Amino acid sequence: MKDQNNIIGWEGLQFFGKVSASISHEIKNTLAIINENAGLLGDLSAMMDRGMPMDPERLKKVAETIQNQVRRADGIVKRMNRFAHSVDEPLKEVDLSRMVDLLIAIADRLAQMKDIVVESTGSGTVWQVRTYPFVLENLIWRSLDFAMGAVGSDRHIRVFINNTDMGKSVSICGIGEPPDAEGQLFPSETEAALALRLRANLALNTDAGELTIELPDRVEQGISI
Amino acid sequence: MSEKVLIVDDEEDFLEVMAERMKSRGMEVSTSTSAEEALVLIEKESFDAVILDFMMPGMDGIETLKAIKAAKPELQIILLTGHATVQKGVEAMKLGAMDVMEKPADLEILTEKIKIAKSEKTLIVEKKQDANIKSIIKKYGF
Repeated sequence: MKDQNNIIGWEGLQFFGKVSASISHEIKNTLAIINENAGLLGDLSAMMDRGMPMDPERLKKVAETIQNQVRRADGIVKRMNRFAHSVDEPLKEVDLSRMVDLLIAIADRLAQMKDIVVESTGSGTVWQVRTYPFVLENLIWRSLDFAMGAVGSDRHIRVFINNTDMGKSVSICGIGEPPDAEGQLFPSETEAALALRLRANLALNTDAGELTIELPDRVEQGISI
Repeated sequence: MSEKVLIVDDEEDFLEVMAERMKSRGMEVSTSTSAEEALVLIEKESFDAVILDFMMPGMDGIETLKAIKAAKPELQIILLTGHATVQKGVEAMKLGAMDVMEKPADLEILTEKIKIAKSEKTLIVEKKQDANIKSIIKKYGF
């Protein structure tokens, strides 16, 4: 087995890179729309200079589109900011519900690409755990990625959070048959290393189409309580 | 004659405005929000150029590029991308894309590329026609 710290470190960098690339792509899309609308305003003003009448509603629509895209970009940047701050402290109290919502929002574009709907059912309730936030985000992300790769026929993934004897659990439901049983075994060496760091248990129940991450309520510098 | 262009992008706000701006520059523009729909349009109509988003739900840009080139090899394709890697760009060019442009794109530069695309396509079609005529002349000994 490779050194656990190396796996977590390298995987963490790759995870950060993938999320950054996905977010930058989303921002580029909003910039492209703003750019086209700014260009359209230029075209319209050139037409007005040539004496062509202009419908004020047309200008209003352009302004609304630009405002909508600015709001969209702002939401994307806020998510990126929250995600970036998850490495501020290696070990801290986190709300699992907020973390799952953030990861689902970040994964939304990838889910759309695959024509999959991912939703969380635990929003509104605080599920506090003390853990390694970045490592947990990485594990949940990898679990979502696995679930999307093996999604069931309704192409719908639901994420539940529950209390357990051990602490809390994050369950990802809606998994069908893994496309390639040989290559799609879960957990891989990487997920096992992440789970070990978190003192978490991983369970894949293919009959129920469910993947569960069970976490202790508190991890204290290598000790779980 | 005006350039006949098909824009394929899943971002409707982008598609609508870009089409309007291209039309105001004298181009004949059709739009599609999916690769699947675009492939149907390409079979039905003759376009000079396709402006294709690299990343879309369902078929991605590379798959779509391959399918278009298989159906209409003479069609000129310009890929628009938010974050293509150099590797993906090279792959696209090897598969026959005319160009790869990054979003947000400058419409004046894109318009120039569309004009080049039309000339390229006309040249390919003319060469094909010449070859056909030569083959008929040879076959019947005119």
